[in-house]
Amino acid sequence: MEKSIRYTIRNYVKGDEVALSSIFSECFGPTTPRRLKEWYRTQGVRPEDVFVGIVDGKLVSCVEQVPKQLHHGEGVYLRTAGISGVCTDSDYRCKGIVSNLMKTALEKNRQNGLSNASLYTGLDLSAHRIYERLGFVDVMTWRMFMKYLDYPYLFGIWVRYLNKSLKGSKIAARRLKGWEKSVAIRLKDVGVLSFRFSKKRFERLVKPPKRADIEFSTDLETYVKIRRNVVQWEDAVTSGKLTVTKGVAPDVEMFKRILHWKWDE
Amino acid sequence: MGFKVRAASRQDVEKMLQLYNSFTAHFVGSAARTPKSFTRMLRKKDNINYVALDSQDRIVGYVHATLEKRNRTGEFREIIIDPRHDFEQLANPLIEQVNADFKRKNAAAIIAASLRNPAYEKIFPRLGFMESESMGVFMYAILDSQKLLDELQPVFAARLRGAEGWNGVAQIQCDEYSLFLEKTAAGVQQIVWTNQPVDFKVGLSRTVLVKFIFGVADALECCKKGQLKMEMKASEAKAVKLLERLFPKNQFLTMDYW
Repeated sequence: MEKSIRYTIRNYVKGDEVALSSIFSECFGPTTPRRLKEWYRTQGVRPEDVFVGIVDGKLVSCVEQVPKQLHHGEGVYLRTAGISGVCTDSDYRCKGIVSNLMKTALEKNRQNGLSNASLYTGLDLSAHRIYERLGFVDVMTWRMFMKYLDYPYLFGIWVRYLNKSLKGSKIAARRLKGWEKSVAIRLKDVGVLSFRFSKKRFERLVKPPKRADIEFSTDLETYVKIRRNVVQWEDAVTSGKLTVTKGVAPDVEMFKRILHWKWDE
Repeated sequence: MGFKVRAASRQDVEKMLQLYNSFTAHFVGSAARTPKSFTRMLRKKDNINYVALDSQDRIVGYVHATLEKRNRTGEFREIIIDPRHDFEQLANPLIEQVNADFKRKNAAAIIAASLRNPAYEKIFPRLGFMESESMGVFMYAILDSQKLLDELQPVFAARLRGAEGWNGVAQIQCDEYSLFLEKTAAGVQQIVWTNQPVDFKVGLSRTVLVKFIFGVADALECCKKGQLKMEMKASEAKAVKLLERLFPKNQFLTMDYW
């Protein structure tokens, strides 16, 4: 953990949604204040259910709880604190702020008579370790079934999404500074999909570049599973399902970060 | 038996809720719903909702799907079938109907995520969907063991009630807290405390209790691995039976995310 920092914890007040949506955009992808307020309304989240961390008057971290009742067997439904929206501004991470926000939220729930809490997260996220330390237990993972009818279209959407995500991510912008490269992905049964990162923007290329900086070939299923972090890039290379035909190691590493949009160490 | 499929309407809310409740009663982890949840589901213009009707025009299943216009991505959010009917048989025409809608609306991708409906694993790969595990996980924490044990009292009492040929006092201990249940010919009742030796005692950690609640750990296996302590006055065979009755292998399924 890095050096300690002075911060306070308070509940949501009107107007916080602007700062919150900016942190949400950085952590979960593009979000607007309006969308956030709409979500609070539909989920029945009250101001006292949202805990925010403040450093020098700036909102930097958040934990919310959504009231839910879960079936515990034999027709018995028990109230649970549905923890959600756990995030911290990238400039204020590794300082224990969100851990303390979580502790505060869980203790408040316990005092209010709730016996349990539940949440959804990713096994590959650093937050997963925090939750385990706080007593959360893995119950079940998802299984996905996917069918792609027009993957090139989705690829274009993804590139657009990268630009939106980049807007809200200081840490990604810092890491991508000066990295101007093109990528060509040869997908079996789909074709060649390519993009470049130049002048702080991702741009989809209609025609693949003649000399891409990174070039690799694989099948759609492997590519999707790598993107979803279910299959590791290295394992796909070892098993022969993915072949890198061009690209030096640091560039490939950067591409992997873009692919997973994961910028923390 | 032939089934009809038609678009769901606001008049179906109560029936859909009833169906959801009877379907999820067979699983653990599902969230409680209100008519409002269904009204919201049916109100959204981009949602695709169909109901399946039997020969007497009773609703015996429904499908709820969404189409994200910007991403052109269709998603099967839930498929609920009356537990008295065959899931696959009824789900197939509902899925076909939604798939046709997705194609008509020019969907670029179709997704069916499950946490975790075992029927999906049979249906979707057959329809040409690629299958993938996910890094997404549901986590649960016990904040107050005593309170949770007390809240779970009706669950354990119902399970003990079904334990044939056994009467006595059972103790379930988690951390330093215990739930005492006494089973007699008259029924099962909770005892606040006793210093008398109990007839059956299980001691487990919070982690193991969570896994048992949601049916993701096998009680007997945990016992063999020393992850729970079991003491019983009667024979080992009876103890094992009682243990399996208290902590059955339930299927976890949830369709609500937050």
